[in-house]
Amino acid sequence: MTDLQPSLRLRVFLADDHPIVLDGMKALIAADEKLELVGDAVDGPTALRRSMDLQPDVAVLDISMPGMNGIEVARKLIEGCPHCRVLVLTVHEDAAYLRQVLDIGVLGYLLKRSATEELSRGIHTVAGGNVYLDPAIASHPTGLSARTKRAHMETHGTIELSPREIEVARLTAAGHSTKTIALKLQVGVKSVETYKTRYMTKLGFQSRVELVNYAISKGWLGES
Amino acid sequence: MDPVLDRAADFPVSAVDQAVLTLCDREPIDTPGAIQPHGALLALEPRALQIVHVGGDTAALLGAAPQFLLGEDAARLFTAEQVVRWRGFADAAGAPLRAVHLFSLACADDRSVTADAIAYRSGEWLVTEFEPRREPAPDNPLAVIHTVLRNIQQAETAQAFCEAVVSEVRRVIGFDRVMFYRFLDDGSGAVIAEALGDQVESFLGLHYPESDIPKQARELYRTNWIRVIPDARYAPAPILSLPDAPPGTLLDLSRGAIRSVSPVHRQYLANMGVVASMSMSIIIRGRLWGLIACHHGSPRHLPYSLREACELLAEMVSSQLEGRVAGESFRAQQRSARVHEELLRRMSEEPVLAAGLIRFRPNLLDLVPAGGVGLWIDGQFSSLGATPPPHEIEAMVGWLNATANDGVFQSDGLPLLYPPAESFADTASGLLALSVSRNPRDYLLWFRPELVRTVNWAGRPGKTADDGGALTPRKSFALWQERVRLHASPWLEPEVEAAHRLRLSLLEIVLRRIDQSAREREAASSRQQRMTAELNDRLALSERLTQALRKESELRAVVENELSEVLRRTVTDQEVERQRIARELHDTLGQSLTMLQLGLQAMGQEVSADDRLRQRLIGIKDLAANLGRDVSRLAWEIRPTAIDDLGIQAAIESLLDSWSEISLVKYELHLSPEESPREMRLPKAVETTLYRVLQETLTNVVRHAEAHKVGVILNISEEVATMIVEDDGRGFDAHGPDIERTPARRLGLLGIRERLALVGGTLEIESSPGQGATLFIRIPI
Repeated sequence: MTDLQPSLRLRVFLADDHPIVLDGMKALIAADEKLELVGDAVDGPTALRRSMDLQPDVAVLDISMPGMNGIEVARKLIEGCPHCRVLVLTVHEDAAYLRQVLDIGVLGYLLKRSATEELSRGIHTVAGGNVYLDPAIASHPTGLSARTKRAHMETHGTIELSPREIEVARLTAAGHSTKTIALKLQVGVKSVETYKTRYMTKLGFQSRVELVNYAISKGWLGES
Repeated sequence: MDPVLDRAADFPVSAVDQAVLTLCDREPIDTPGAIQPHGALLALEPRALQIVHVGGDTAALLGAAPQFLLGEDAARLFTAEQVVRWRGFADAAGAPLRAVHLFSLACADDRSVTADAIAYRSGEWLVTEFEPRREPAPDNPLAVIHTVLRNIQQAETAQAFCEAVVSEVRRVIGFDRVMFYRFLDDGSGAVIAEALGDQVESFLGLHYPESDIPKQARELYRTNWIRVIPDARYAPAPILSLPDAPPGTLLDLSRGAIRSVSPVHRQYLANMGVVASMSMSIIIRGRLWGLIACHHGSPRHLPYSLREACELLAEMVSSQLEGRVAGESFRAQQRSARVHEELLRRMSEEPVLAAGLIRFRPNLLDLVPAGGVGLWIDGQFSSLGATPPPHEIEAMVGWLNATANDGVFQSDGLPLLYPPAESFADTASGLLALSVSRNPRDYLLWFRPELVRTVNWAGRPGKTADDGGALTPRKSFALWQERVRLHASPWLEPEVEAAHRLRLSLLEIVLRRIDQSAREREAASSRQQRMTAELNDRLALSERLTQALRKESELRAVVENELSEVLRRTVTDQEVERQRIARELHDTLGQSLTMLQLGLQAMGQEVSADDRLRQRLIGIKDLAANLGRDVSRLAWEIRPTAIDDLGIQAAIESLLDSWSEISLVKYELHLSPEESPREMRLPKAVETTLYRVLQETLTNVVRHAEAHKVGVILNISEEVATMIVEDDGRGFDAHGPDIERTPARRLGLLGIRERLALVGGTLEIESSPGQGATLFIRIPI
């Protein structure tokens, strides 16, 4: 049906342990004239071996395959085939999974349930060396808030706290309750609360997490 | 001349000569056969008035010597009036006990001197005594007596009374010495009161043996109230009798006043220097209690009327004394009874017998007067006053045990019965002993000293000092002293009675005490037994309770363990089930949906032409896509696979992410470490628990807190996993009563605690209204 040279078509490798899903994906790829299916597998080790042999442009891998973890396959493939672009196929919508996968160099993350719609686009995107994230997941910001806040901390270095306030702040950052701190320092609970209010105000913090990050930056939590 | 005196001359008059005493006892003093020569006596035959016996100074009084009167007819010699009196007396029915005054006459030799004729019956004879009045008689003898009585009335005690009596008698009759004698039970006596003239020797305190006033005399004095001897130096005048009449020696002159007295007695008076003497009997209840004895150094002729008055006085003094003596005796008894009561009361208060009887007043000496008193109880001797030494007491007690069998022993001459007492006769000549227990005997012992030590006659040595063996007061006293050697003052009947009564009371007390202490001991012993039994019961009960408690605890522990186990398993099962469902949803359902989508897609390829069909297909594909998404989401909610595959940190982050998006509450997360390598990961149960707790907490925040921001800190160290969840919402009173929190919240927190408990974790909450809430979750590893 198409006159494109086989070399101009993207060489795609598929791996999925579910035969029907595999067939379906094969059909999807066959429907796209720019794509050429060069091989497939139904388990991890076979997928790795074959794909290493075939050196496809894009490898679509189901993460949860028997034998070897799909992520392992991905990693090994990326190592052994530098120009291979990997697109993982998964049921896990958890953003955590996404991060893990991206960290090893996988470029594409596609939910199985979106596969029918997005498979082609995903393949093409990662073939171009871009990150492809299934839109269903992309709405989750991947927990960057804690990290960004940490960056802010480092500019607060020169606030003056009294020795007592520092004591209470350290203990609070270490995770002790007000009652416990009061017992430790042999003072009343009200006193501890007063100190807390003071240093939180001085530091401009409103949450414990902010304090904890500050404490880390000050190196207070080494000996807790 | 004097038959009696003659007879007596054959024997030496010695004070200590028993023979003399015996003689005195047998001397016929009432029929002396002679009279005192100052008067005269006629004994008449009552019918014919013939003078049958005659004696005395008839010459002076009647004008003829006795021998000339003997056998004469009295009617011829006397006046008709006098004869009438005689006849009247003779004819009077019944014999009066005492002599009566018949008439007076002028003395033959001196018409200025009146003589009194006193008559009395003696056997069948009518005796008449004639006595000249040599001293003036008082005008009103009765008045004299009245005065005396009035003066002695005031005396209260018997002793004071006696003293008043002798004083008054001396005032009335003027004798040099008036004494009050008192007789004791053994016949001895003492001078207990005395009224003296100047320079007169005192006999006060003189004790004399019973021989001094022989039995005869004492008998006589009981019937004859008064005796006079106007001049003791007389030579007795014999009584002449008609030959055919019984001899004058048998004429009983005891009722009269002029009988001749015993020569021994006259000698005694002479030895004392006494010339005139008079004695009046003091008779109480028929017994001779004492005498009022009067001595004078020169002759005294008391007129008859005064003598009569004195006789009356003696009778009245006797009765008055009786009253006083009785009164004193009664009071003494009362005192004794009071002392007895007091002693008993004391003893009931004092546990120690001795103390109650000796230590206080009144004591045993108040009950029975003595020199000393001792208690021998349980071999211990306690004493009060003068007593023999303790070692003597022990021996004495042993002797008492052997001799005295009926509980009371008394003697006023102990050394004579118990020779060892002679060595301490000074304290124990008299002994009154009461036994107050059974065996060995305990005793109450009263001791009286040797009498001679307590009685001293204050007499001055008189002219009788060198009389050799003659009977004198000094000799009397010496004799008395001899007789009372090793003797004590006798125990009076009331005293012994009081001792008896005390003994009975003591025995009663002792018995009661023994009883009581026995009962007390028994009560104490049974009380102790009861208490011991009760104690044992309680111990047993306590044991049983402890056992039961322990069993219950064990049971409870078992049940709790089982419950925990069940809970843990339930939770685990739940999680496992969730996991299964999630995986099923993911894998099976998810895969199927994918396949459905793929199938639809393929179908779409073939149905390219028909727009409507294509549209419908697209619609169905969208439906399928949505379905897939929902299923995926549901599976994730049920159990995110991240927990198992990626670790708790990743799972928490995802949770917060998606929760924050839905609830529109911002969050901050701090993870330390940020990720745990597979080998360092926490046990699955712990990770699951942390996840579920956070899930629940976030749900609560949404439901109740109205917060803007939530902070989560997860810290995993080697020992403990700590998760702190902080919100800035409404807060609640973490320590307030449960009522303030909604049931849902309560259940929620309770559920969290339960879950944590299953893995050994704890929950601490800090919150106050308006200030948000902080949850501290700690799970030791």
